[in-house]
Amino acid sequence: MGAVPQRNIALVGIPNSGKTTLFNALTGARKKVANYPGVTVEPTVGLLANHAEAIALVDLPGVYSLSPKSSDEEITSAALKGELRTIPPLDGIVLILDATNLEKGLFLFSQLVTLQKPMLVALTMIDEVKRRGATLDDILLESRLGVPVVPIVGTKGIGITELKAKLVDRQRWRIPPIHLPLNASVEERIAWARQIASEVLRNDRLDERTERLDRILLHPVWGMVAFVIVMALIFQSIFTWSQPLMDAIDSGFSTLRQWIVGDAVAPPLVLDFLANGVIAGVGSVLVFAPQIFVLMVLVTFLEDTGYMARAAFLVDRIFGIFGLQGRSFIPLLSSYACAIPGILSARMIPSYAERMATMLVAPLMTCSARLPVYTLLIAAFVPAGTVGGFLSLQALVLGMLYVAAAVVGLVIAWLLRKTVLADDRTAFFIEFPPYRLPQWRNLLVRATMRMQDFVQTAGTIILAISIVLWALATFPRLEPRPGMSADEYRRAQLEQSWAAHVGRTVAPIFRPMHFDWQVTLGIIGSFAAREVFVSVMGQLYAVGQDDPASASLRAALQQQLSPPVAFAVLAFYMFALQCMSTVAVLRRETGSWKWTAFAFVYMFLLAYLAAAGTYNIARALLS
Amino acid sequence: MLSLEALPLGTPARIAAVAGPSPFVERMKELGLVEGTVVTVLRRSLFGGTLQIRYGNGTLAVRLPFASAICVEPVSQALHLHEPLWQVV
Repeated sequence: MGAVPQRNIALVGIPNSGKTTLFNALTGARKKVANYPGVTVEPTVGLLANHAEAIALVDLPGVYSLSPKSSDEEITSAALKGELRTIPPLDGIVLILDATNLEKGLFLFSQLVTLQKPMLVALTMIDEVKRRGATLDDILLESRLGVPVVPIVGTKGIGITELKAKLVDRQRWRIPPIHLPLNASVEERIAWARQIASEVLRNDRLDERTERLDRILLHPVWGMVAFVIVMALIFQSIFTWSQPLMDAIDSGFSTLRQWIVGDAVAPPLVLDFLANGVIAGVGSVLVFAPQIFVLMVLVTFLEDTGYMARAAFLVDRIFGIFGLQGRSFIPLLSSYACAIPGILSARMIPSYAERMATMLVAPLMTCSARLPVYTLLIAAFVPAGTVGGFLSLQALVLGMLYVAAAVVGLVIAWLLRKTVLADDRTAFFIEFPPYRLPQWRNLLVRATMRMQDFVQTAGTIILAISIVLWALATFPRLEPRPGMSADEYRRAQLEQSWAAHVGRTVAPIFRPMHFDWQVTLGIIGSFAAREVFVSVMGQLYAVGQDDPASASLRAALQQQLSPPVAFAVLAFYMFALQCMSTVAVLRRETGSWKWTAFAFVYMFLLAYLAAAGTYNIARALLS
Repeated sequence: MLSLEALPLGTPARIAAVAGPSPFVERMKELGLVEGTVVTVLRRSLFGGTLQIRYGNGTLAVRLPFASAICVEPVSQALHLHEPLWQVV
């Protein structure tokens, strides 16, 4: 096929105007760059096919005006003005005008007019204003704006075909006439927007349903009760809805690996690579998919129904103290299950500095992968007694690890927002969209796309790292001696591998907390995932045991590690970013290796200091 | 004239001025909080940090240091639902 002329068209709208939903409906699966379609942070390009020419639809982050107040808005504003190198010059602009929020959208229109580009207006949420009893005259609106207006009812798919037809037909586009002086003030533009809104929207009134629901959901007592219930349900569902699938993926992949390597003491290198390098790597990517899907469906549901803004409002004050905001709550809460979906859900935070701070502290929350390490070490080194006669000492220590991680995370967020992420242009307001029923299809499409995006972008990095880790543990190859059991062989192989060599070389770094090379090797191996620490310990000390509840592993550790070292390991795992998948997702979501490296280094330093401190305090107390 | 923070809940008031650093003032105006717009404080968030205000046909939450930068004058009569939702001087 020869070169098809391409037209570049931008989708623009104020935040929450249904822009991304429309983008998905228009482009469907035809994506040139399979970027995420979540709440937009960076431009996404989708292709719209037509026999004569290709149309690239650019989904730009939502903006209120062309004078940007945040880095997200800067992207849109620069792209529209043709100043963004990654986005080719635009041939046209589609404004998504939310009928329930006409004034702000028309204000943006009045600024877009100054660009003098061919335009179309997609008028969304008209069913919502009709439900309130208002009437909206889209023909009058079209004549007042001077560009085609296409009414859309997203829930029923009405208007999409018409919009597509107009999109591909150059003849339908109009350059809007200039209705205000180019240098008109904000006040004049708002006055114009109100004028037009009052002409086209008749009998508009407050949304009764929204008013009634707000009285309950924002109530100081009932609102908080609802908040706690909703958040508990979210947290619970990440576990209960995705756990069966995760377990299935996990056991499916280990069965596959088992089947490939068979019972051989030392499987051929190719099979070993296939089973323990590639398949194990792919498995460790896919195992996150169910959690990501479930959380994304829930978060999109809350965002689309309008509840998210309310939830954010309720806790905004508390998170504001730490330089975060109400929308930081779900990412941090989810990170208690796993930092991967937590960080992915941070995309809904509208301001750059608060979004970054949330993502940079999310891995500090006690994710479930730390639990095997905690359980093993606590069971082995914390006495089983009770405090005050009823509280188990072991449970108390575990609880303290959870609470301390949250406290430290919030303090770090506060520090980041005072230093590297100080930004006074931070969002100081939350918009409250009217409550509405979500579009289930859109919900599922968005969650699926986020999942695919994770598998493709973060998955590649995870796979690469897991192959490197496999190579470190596999080379140089040891020939099995006759009569060696598979467990003995694995132990001997690991002890003379490059990984062990690296462990021995870097162990002196951990001198202050007396980590020997075996513990260091465990730390290196667990970069694949924290729980791998347990299986490395199992391979090294208690041949073959990798169950954290195993009594023989516990006994072996009690022999090999002194209690201060064990507590130092606990402290280390509390803070260290020992997870290649989180690193890969941070890279994807922050868009920079620099911030990813920053996160890794600061958490390592924190972990290092905590481990050294814990070792010394424990030694002083226990001697 | 009083700041939005000092305005009793449920009392409609007309914006007299928006003060503060320029990006903030400009954004407030872009959101429609220009002089003459009638606003009502609906509620405060937990621990009082953020105000939910109504103007036009929608609501908005504004964080406190910023909300107090909005100066208002209470209007004598409560607005009713059938009246125009916003009024410009």
